[in-house]
Amino acid sequence: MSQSHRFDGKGLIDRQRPLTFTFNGDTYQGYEGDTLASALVANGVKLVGRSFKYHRPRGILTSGSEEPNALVTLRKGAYAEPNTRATSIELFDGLDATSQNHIGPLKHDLLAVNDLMAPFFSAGFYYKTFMWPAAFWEKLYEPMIRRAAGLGKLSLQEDPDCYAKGFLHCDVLIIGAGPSGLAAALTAGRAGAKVILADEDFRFGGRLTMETFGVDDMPGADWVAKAIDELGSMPNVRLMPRTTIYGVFDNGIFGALERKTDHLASSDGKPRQVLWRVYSKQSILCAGATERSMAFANNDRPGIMMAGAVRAYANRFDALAGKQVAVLTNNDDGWRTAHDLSVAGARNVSIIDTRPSTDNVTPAGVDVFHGKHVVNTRGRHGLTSITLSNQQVLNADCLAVTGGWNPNVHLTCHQRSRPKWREDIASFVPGAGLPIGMRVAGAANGALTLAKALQEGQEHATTALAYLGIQAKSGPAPRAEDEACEISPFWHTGETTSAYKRAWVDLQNDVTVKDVFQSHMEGFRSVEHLKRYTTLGMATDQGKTANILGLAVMAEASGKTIPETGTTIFRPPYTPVPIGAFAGSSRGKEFRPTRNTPSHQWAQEQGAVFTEVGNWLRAQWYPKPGETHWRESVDREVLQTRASVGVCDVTTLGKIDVQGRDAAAFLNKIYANAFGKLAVGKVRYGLMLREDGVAMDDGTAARFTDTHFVVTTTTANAVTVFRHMEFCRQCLWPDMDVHLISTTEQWAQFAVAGPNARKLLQKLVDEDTNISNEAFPFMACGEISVCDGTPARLFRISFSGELAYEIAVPTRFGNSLMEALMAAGEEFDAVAYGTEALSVMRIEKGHAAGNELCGTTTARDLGLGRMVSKKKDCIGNTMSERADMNREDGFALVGFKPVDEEQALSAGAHFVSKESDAVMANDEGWMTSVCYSPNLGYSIGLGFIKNGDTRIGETVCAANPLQGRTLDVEIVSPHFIDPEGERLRV
Amino acid sequence: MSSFKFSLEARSPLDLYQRTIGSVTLEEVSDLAIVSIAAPLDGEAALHKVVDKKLGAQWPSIGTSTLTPHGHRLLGLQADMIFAVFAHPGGRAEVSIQDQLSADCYVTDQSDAFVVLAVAGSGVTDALERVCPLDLSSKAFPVGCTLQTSMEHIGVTISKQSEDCFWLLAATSYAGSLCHAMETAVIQTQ
Repeated sequence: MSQSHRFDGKGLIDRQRPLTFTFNGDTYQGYEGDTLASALVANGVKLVGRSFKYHRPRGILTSGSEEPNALVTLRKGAYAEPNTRATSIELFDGLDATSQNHIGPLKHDLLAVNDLMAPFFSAGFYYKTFMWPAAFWEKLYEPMIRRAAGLGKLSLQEDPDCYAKGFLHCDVLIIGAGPSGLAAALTAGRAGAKVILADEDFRFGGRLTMETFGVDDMPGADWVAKAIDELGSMPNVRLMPRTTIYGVFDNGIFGALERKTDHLASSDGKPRQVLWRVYSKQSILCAGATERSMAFANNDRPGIMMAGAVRAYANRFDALAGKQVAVLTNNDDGWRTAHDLSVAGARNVSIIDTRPSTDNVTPAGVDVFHGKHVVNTRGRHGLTSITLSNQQVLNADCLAVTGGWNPNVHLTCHQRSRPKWREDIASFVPGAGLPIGMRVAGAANGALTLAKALQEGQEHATTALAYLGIQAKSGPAPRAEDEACEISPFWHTGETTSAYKRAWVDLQNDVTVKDVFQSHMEGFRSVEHLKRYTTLGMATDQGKTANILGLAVMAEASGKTIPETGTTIFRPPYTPVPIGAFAGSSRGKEFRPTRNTPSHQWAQEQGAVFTEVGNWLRAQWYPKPGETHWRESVDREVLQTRASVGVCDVTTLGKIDVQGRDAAAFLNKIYANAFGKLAVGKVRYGLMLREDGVAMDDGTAARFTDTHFVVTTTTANAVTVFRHMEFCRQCLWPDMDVHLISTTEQWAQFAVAGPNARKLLQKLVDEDTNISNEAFPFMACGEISVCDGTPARLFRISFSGELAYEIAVPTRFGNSLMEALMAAGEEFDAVAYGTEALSVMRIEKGHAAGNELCGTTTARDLGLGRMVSKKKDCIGNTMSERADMNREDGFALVGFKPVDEEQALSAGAHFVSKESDAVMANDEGWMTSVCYSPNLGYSIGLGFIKNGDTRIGETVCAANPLQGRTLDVEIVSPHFIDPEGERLRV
Repeated sequence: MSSFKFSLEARSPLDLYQRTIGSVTLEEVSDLAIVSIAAPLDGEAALHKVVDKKLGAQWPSIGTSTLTPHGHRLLGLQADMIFAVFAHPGGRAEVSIQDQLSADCYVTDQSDAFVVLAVAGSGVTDALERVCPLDLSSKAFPVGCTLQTSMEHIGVTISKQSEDCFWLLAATSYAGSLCHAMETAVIQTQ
């Protein structure tokens, strides 16, 4: 078939650039400038898909993004994109599209049997049927319904395209480049404002590309071209075709989807789409209007289209939607379709106007039927005839229907503005409470005629500029005439109960007039209920062609007016946005940024297994050849550290330099324990409470000078603690002389732990540094130098319970220091250990970590109650004295071991006494951390249990319902290793 | 003391990365010292005067930067604290600043805390608008402007060095991710 419905016209296709495409495997020709829909129309293809529920044959209804029917799957394999609107797809050479939602060939869909079963599938049928037997719903009914219903199918392969995001800023965002949008852009651009003009179409001009109107004494399309030339030459104007403004968000922020390469056969590695966040000071919505239908029996056949679309295919694409065209209208706009088609060469054009009479001039050769409407149609896979209300049958392969125009108010509603009814155009227009800075112009504002649209565009731009303090250049609005646009509402031809004469309201969701009446009859009378019960207005088109018609039917059913009936409002997105675009480049390992520790490269070279700790990648363990299980590696690291010496990168712990005359006093208020008298050169363990007295974080504070401390935090709370301290500094105690700065990234810090830690470090510290136990005892700190002059900080602190130090050097030396530590430690059989061994050793020692500092536990629970000094005030001190936080039967952190040492403990298990059932009523506490202790040879754990410190030696049950396990465990001291702390001090 | 000798080798966060993609060049700026200078309570005015006198540039207000005759760029990051960024290949940069100022102030070496990635070339703003939420137009973000923002979930201080050159300062640990994000943005826009 070679473009049987193309005619020689003045359309905006480039006949010098023919394109080849396939639809359902058949090859067709089109031209550059076509959409897939226009090319199909030009080739006489009417049947393009099947309906959602009843699998009715469906054709192209519209020419824009509101299309409910012509949804196709574009491209193949992993590139396949289902539910793409043929009316929005820009044709390219090699385009490959297939229809969807059918079993077997499109023409002979096996699931068309659903249509015969329609009486059983009325609105809300799934709420009433398939109730018995209950087990069948999940196993049979739902899978069966899902298979029969729905639109396109995902490829289930990873999307090979890439997407991007971005940020744009402007003084004035103009949404829509039709007549009002162009007039607004010219006004704002000429005044020097920073303008973004965005339109979802690939060609600017809106209705001017689809009509035969003139502007400023030239054809509309020429005026558009001239305007775009002028705008394109302005450095302050950004033109964004193929860009949909899909959502309005707070404070002048808009979401925009720019389709960068969808019109190309290949993206060539570039992002297919860019999701922009647009920051605008003012916005002008010039989104135009969407034509609506009328409901009559069998008004869904392929070939029944919106009249404006039929006109657009003729005027813009030189494509005739039919050769025998009837126009059904209740307004003057339908007459223009008949006129333009007649000029384009359609035969036997007729107009059926529901109004008894009009002032319109009958185009030559056109038959007019006043006061009539259509009551039925024929043609299974394409329209063949229509029956009028006087029972006259007209042969037609295209019925162009117009029930009036709905202003595209969607974006005005995104912040809860509710549209208001305008009787003269029988439609909703933007209401009060528009998004900040938004103005609405042209058809979107109910100005449905050309001259008014141009004028409103210019006026609203002038007002927006004035708001920004910019003077618009004076001049008249572009000249045009206001076309006739009177309307006399006509919604449907009456309720019918015949399954063979259903009148469709929402073509995408197969909602009929009868369904709306039924919804009302069953009590679902609010428009919101109507929508949910019938699915009217849902899915990809969001009811753009159906909503008002549905409301009108509902109004009739309830005996109210349409404004009394009300309307649903809209939320983002205006049209579907691919999930891939929301993700942008945040996919796979780029899902979020990662932070590498200073010794990351060295760890990689050792074959370390990494774990994510927030954004940090930390070495979890370092497998050695021959080790086949992570436990072998971890056990080795623990045993070797406790036997000799181990090294661990602990840079991720938060580090905050605190300076100022009031630094000590400040820390005294921040920490629960006292810091005012901490001597220079000493470190102290510190516990921070929240205002409510719950433990917030723990760490150390080292005093380097009278006015300089270094505070450490846990890795997880590094940012939280810094923010908390800044809040205290700036808001609570602004009269204190204190400064804070994070030095987490400045210093690469390593724990060196084990009996040989000192011997190892002695090989690295410079000669003037004495780190003997006498000169540098437990909890000492100092600024030293290592490896011949590299500045360093040394802390004698221990998380493992061994003789240990933490040594820090500027980060640039971190990887090298790790190498040096391991080289120096060779003679001691030093081992690098990861976070898993770190955790084992801290559990063995009974040190709390994130699992214990979980936001619900107190100092008392942690066994640190006495640290909360009562000699001073601090954050959380008063609230920690609340009675319930000091109950005698409160939780206490203790250790646990399995009675049967062959068994492994599990974290998260809850404790119940041996005599009690494992139910929440008997819950006595929970296990926070567990590990296998290679030093003890069995599994150990930490946990909170009521009265724990008085129950040492008692056996309780540790129940883990998730694993279906209950284990007898003995309550023991949390200090499994070196309970007296002797190793720390040697 | 043992005879073990080991001198530490300094490594920049991006190993002196440099790459030109189309009209945009990405380059790690190394050997820079970054020192925070904070004013003591009630000593702000005095410190501002000292900075003006000793360094030869005004204390920058938040969001701006000033340039000293010796090439120190002072970045205004918060009300009572600035960053001094200057060439200083050796260590202890904070001591150097303290010595120059000889004033009552709190200084902290931040040289190793940040990676500095210079992005320059005629297509630089096209690439940056893919990752940077700020308005980088000349009017809104003139040369010298310095602001903290977030790019691809990474905290970044962006400083405009010239009409087509920006510095991005991010935490050292994020160096790889920042570089990847910028490379991606440049590749996608070139």
